[in-house]
Amino acid sequence: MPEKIPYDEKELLIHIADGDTSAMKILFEIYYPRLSYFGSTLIHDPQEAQDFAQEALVSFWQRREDFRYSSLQQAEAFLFTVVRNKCYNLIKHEKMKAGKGADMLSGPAFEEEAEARFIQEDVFNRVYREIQQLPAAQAQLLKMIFVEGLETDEIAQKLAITPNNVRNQKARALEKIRTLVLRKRLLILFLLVFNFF
Amino acid sequence: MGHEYIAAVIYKYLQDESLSDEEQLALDQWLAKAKINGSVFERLQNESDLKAYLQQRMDPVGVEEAFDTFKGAVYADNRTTVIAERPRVHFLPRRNRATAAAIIFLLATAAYLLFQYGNNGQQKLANAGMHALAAIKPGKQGAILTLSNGRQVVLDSLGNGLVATQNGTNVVLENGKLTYARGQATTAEVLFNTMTTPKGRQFQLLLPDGTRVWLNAASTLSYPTTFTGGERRVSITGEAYFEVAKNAGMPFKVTINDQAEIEVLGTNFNVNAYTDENSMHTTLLDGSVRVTNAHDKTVLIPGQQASVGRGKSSSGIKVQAVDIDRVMAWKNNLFDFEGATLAEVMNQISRWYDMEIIYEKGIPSFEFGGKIRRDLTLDNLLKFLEGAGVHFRIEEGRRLIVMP
Repeated sequence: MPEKIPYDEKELLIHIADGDTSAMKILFEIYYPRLSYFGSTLIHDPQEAQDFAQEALVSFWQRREDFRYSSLQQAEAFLFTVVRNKCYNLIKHEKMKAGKGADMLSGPAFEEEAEARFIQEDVFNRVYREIQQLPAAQAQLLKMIFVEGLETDEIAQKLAITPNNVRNQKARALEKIRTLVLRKRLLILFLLVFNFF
Repeated sequence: MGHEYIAAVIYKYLQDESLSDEEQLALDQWLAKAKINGSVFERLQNESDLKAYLQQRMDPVGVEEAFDTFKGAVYADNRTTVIAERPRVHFLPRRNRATAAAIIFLLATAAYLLFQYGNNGQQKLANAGMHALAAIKPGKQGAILTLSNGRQVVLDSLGNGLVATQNGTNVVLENGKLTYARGQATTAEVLFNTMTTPKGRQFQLLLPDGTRVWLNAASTLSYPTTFTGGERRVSITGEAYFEVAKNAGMPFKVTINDQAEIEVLGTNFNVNAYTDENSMHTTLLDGSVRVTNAHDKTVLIPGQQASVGRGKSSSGIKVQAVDIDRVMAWKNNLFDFEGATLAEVMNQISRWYDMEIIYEKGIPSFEFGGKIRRDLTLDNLLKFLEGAGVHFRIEEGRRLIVMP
């Protein structure tokens, strides 16, 4: 799924094909975390998954000319496929070393898992974009919860400095956020904040 | 049914919207298709899984660092404009200029060898009483900044923010990198700062002219907080990589150990000038530099390295073509031991792991190959070297003994 990016997506790939590293950086910032996550759900080794993501992006850069007139979806499909194949090879290699036959992992089992994990990442990516589309203050709220890992009461205390603002944010964030787990978390947060006043 | 369609249906479901009959059917079929689908569906409704995803997704520092690594890996391609070349795996990296793909291949090989030698090596290490080694961590980001008034600031214990203001220039620490933001000077006086990395630390800084410098472990860089006059002059000992901001009117000059000088117009190059090595090396990645010592001078083209002997015995400057990836390995968080002698390998270990190296009976003759990550703990790195036949023992006080 294409992201909200400062270039038209076709233009972005043309810039990258021309060797523009700042355009590549935009693509990198989107796909490095996505590919790392996808890989880590398949091989359960985040470090290795990050290396695979890195390698897929290097490989994309080396072929950037081939993607000059592609859609972002095609580039995305290439990147995810590279990571998927690297994960497959790693698992195969490890199982062979553990003395299990290569047949045990090949074919349907890995195929099914890769597909499911691909969908998992895609859905989470949609939730991420939902947050990104919020006004900055509200996105910040969710960032405090999810990225900085602040506890609800810590956030309540931080936010208690500007009570009016908090009341307004509550209504607006709940209007825009549709995903249930996020809504639930926000509701608990605001209940708590209101107890402070 | 496409993956994207299923993802869109699940997302709709997570938002508590009612699904159409067609969508509901697609979801049911998908759930029935494979066991894993059900457990993924559960994870998608689980807050802690979502949290883990968002943490990874909203980590600008991690992505920034990864992008630096990426730039390092594709650097060679940028220079030589390998446009549509298909990456191939090089089984004989010695013959080919290592591409990024080959680097990663080698890393995988190193990891494999590590694993393979793991059991065997573990045994040997245990016999040698070296399990305490596991505690010795690799180097990390950090440095000591000495301000013009002599005040010292330890940069690895500080959070992000303003470190100091000197004559109108703000010194700001952000994400492990020091930045000089030029302001209105209050006096005409030129102030000098010194950045020192101890063993086991490396650091990055942005000079007031926009030049970026990566400082390897056990190195020192001195520079003015504002560049004035006809040239930009800094001095270095140890190892550093420079990406000099272009300014034709104000040449950039690097004094190396007070014995040689590099003059630059806007270019990327690496200086390796440790006082415990026999010679000092300047390697040019891009642009053009002139290297001068008391006896000789030479102009480098990209891919060339100028070597200057140290001390009074030094004479001419030797120029040769070198493997850029090998020279730049440290900046890309790698050790590149290709063709290195044991002494060279041990010097690097000494600087990165802050160890004193002692050779029990002279320096055994070994030649190494391959690359390995710099973020391994010492015991893991040594397992790798044990696999090549070198034997070690650790003693109190960070002493690493090389046994015959």
